[in-house]
Amino acid sequence: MHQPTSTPGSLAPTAATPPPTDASTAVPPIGQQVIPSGATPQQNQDEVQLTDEQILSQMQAIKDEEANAHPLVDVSVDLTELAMEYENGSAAFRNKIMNLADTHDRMRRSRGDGNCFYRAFAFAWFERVMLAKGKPELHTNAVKVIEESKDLLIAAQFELLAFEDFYLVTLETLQNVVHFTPEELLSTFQNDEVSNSIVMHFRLVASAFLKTHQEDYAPFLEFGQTMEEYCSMHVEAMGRESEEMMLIALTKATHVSIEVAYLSGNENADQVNFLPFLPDTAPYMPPLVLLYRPGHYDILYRKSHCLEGVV
Amino acid sequence: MAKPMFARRLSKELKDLAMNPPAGVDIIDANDFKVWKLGLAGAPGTLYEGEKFQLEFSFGPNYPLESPQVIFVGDNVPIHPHIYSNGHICLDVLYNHWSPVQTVASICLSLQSMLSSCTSKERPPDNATYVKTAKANPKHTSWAFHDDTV
Repeated sequence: MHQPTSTPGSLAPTAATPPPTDASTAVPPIGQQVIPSGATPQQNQDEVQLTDEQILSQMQAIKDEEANAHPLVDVSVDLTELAMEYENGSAAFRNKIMNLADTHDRMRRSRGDGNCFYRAFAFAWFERVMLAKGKPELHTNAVKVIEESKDLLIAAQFELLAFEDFYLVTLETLQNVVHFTPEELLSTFQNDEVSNSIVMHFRLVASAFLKTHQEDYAPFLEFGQTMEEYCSMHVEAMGRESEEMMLIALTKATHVSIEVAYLSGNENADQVNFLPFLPDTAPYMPPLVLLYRPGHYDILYRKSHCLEGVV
Repeated sequence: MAKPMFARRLSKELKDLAMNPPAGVDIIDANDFKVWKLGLAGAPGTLYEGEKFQLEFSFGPNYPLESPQVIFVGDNVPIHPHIYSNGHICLDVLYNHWSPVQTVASICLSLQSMLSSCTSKERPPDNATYVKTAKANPKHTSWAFHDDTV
């Protein structure tokens, strides 16, 4: 939504540079964070502009509308609903969805608030654990991973005081998940505080993994950017969209594999392309399946996973 | 989970601030979980040595998922190229680079380091215009972050 509008440069001893005409919000140039940085508030003398408060109240209205229309995690729906979204769309989408429906029967939407990947991942994992009756090792493994994530965060030099609440909410939810009904799990993930705490914890886990494995991942960063900067800007801040590196990090840190179904408008293919993200250890359960459309992740249900009792 | 998250977090932060305050930081007033006033002393060997400043932190119910509002208050607002005379501070971690892993103490440290690295005590060049038009809450300003040199 935000377009970069500011130009890096030193503060001139004259008036602030007027921003581009469509400027309403400012996004800093890549590569600056924890260090103090200078700025000028944006000014535009030439044109009538909305006041900050008008902009904020509009943004809030959009957020509220979004919240009412889309819960943080929604009830699952039949895949025919996805097909309906593309009823008038291109044949490329319709064919892919038709083929996807051979092997997948349901989907669950995650709100498009920039946290959709983390929320979808956490929900799909916790739901898998909850539904895996007769496979208590799924629960034991998950609890162990989350318990150990505390050490990972400390190794990455996060302050216990700053992450403890998110960690405890996540652990407590996971410990209780085997006693949840599917409805309880859904309402837990629809509760702002609990749901966002879990998202935050998974963000920190991804960040901590990247920071403690810099030698493997730093080469993928833009020139001049440190892993600290990248994580602080793109991983640790709520609402920042995830990139492939976060999927890799979370998969490896949790030992949970993911398959991402890329639904694109590519005319040359009739099949959705699946991209696997694998942990370094042998997977102990089938992958979580996520549906990716540019900029957004939802949850998919694969028929062969036979998950009974999904709501 | 009887206490809401912001209250749990702030009680821990307050205890920690009281027990291990960062150098030059002291609590002036923190009697609730809405507004805290902290003292910040200019570090020795910097342009602000011997000066004493006051910071006001205002917390919303979504803290720490959302950033607190942080401004300098009182008679002595530091003269610094990133600090406006109305107390508003241009520091990206307070706005669009906020992350819940920041704490009151870590913000104080960032401000302390921002002051310490200053080489010339002056107001931002657009101070007069900004102060005339700014809202009371700096989070309502659209900040454009320019550089990290002062």
